[in-house]
Amino acid sequence: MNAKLNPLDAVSRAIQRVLSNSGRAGQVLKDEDSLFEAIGLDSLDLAQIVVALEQDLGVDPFRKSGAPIRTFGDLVRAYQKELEMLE
Amino acid sequence: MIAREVLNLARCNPQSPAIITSTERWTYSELVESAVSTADQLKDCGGRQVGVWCDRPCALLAILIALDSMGVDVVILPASATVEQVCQRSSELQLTIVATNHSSTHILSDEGQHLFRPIDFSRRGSKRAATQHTSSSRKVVLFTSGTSGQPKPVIHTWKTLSAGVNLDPKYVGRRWLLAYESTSFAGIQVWLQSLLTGGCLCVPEMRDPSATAQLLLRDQVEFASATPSFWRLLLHSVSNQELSKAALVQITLGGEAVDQSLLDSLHRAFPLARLTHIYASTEMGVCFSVSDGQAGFPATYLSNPALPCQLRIGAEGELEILSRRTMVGYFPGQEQSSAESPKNAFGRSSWFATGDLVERRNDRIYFVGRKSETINVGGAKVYPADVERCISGVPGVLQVRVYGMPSSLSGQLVAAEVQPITETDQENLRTAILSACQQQLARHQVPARITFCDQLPFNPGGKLLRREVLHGA
Repeated sequence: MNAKLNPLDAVSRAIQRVLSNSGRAGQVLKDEDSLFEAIGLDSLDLAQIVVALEQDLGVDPFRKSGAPIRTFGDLVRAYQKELEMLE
Repeated sequence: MIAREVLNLARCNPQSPAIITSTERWTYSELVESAVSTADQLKDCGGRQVGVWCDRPCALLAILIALDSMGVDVVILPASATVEQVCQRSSELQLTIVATNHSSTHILSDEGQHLFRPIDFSRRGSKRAATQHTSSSRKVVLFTSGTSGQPKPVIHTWKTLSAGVNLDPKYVGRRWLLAYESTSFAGIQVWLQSLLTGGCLCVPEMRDPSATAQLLLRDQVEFASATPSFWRLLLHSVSNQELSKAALVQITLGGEAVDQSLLDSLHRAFPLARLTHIYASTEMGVCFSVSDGQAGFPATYLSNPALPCQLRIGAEGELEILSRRTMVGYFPGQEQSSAESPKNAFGRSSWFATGDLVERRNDRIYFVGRKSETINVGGAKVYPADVERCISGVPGVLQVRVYGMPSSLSGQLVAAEVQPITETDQENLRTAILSACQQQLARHQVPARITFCDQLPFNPGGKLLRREVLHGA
């Protein structure tokens, strides 16, 4: 776990890693991009991203119910919120 | 039964070695003399059920032969159990006496004296002593290995335990390796086979693969049985050139599913040895074996009346067995808790759901994993064996264990724990493993997490422990 890691960078990197595994690397991720339609993830991709981020950041916002997470920006903010609650 | 056989052997070949360990060497005659002395030390135990707890194979055999000659029921406690575990088991099974080769202060304390009976093996009795009570129907209780749960006591007799012993002349007077825990079902199979055919049992000082490899060479062992995990490590602990000096004529694998790459490596290292993998369990005994050098078993076994058991594939691909060599039953009050195989109301005429999942490909049946270990990734099933087969084919991987880790989004995800060959670069290996998995497996089978460790944990019988990390990820 690395609490100093910036959630924006960590989330971007985790998404890019999953995309590159299936030959979809190089997308520019924008705040309003929906995870499924725009970025093209599926539920298995997202499950893997969340597991990787739990290792990097030490938190998993999907363990409890919160604001809906639809876009790249929602995902980053969910991690920011979780990390703030740790401090 | 075993007492009578061993007595006969001691009469015919008194000076033949029965057991060789790193510190002891007992002939058949010495084994019988120790057993007679042991029976004398336990003579007040007639008519009771006696526990046996030994970590020295020589002592274990002497005590078991003694108790068999006295005609009492025995409970064989795991050699690796602690004093506390022995006390707990004894109270659960209502044992009032535990014969042992241990003599720790606890055992000799006032409290310990009520239960433990340390046997003095420096005393030897007359080998002419008679065995009046010997009977093949006396109960012999032993414990399951507990690879996927708590060890459970099961009831056998010497007759059901020795049903798999082969008395063919080609097995008589040979040298056998004891690589399993001497008190486990597999270990008992090995020493019964050796003992009942006048063989010599070779026991490594520690059941670690490199010490065992040295012993194979030093004692020129001819028959060796161990788990696939153990053989895999052994092949990496000594060079093939060294191993080519071994005298092995038969290699047996049991206790875990065998993969083809291991069979091929063993064949390369020991080109003259016959390779056999065995399907057996503490409950069902030895069910069948396969010696064609191929993983899995022929589909014709599903309808082969010559096998000691009948096989069928039940719901969800679970292998079911009707065995004639089965145990008598679970120990009263210690039956299977419902978790693993709820439908096993045990009886000699009922089918036993093994918990092993199989898959038919053409005319061969392959093991794909344990039912209880099947990983559920968002509703899609993943068998650890499929993923393990893919990963163990990657150069640099020594052992691998695949398990389900909890996921907040998909229930479970696949995780792999890898023991690399020493001096392998881990980051390169991780990349190679991922790329092999992505090429050969479906997306949901690809591990979401790969961790490395120096040594995957084994149980005392040499099986990879499967359960420990399930929830620890």
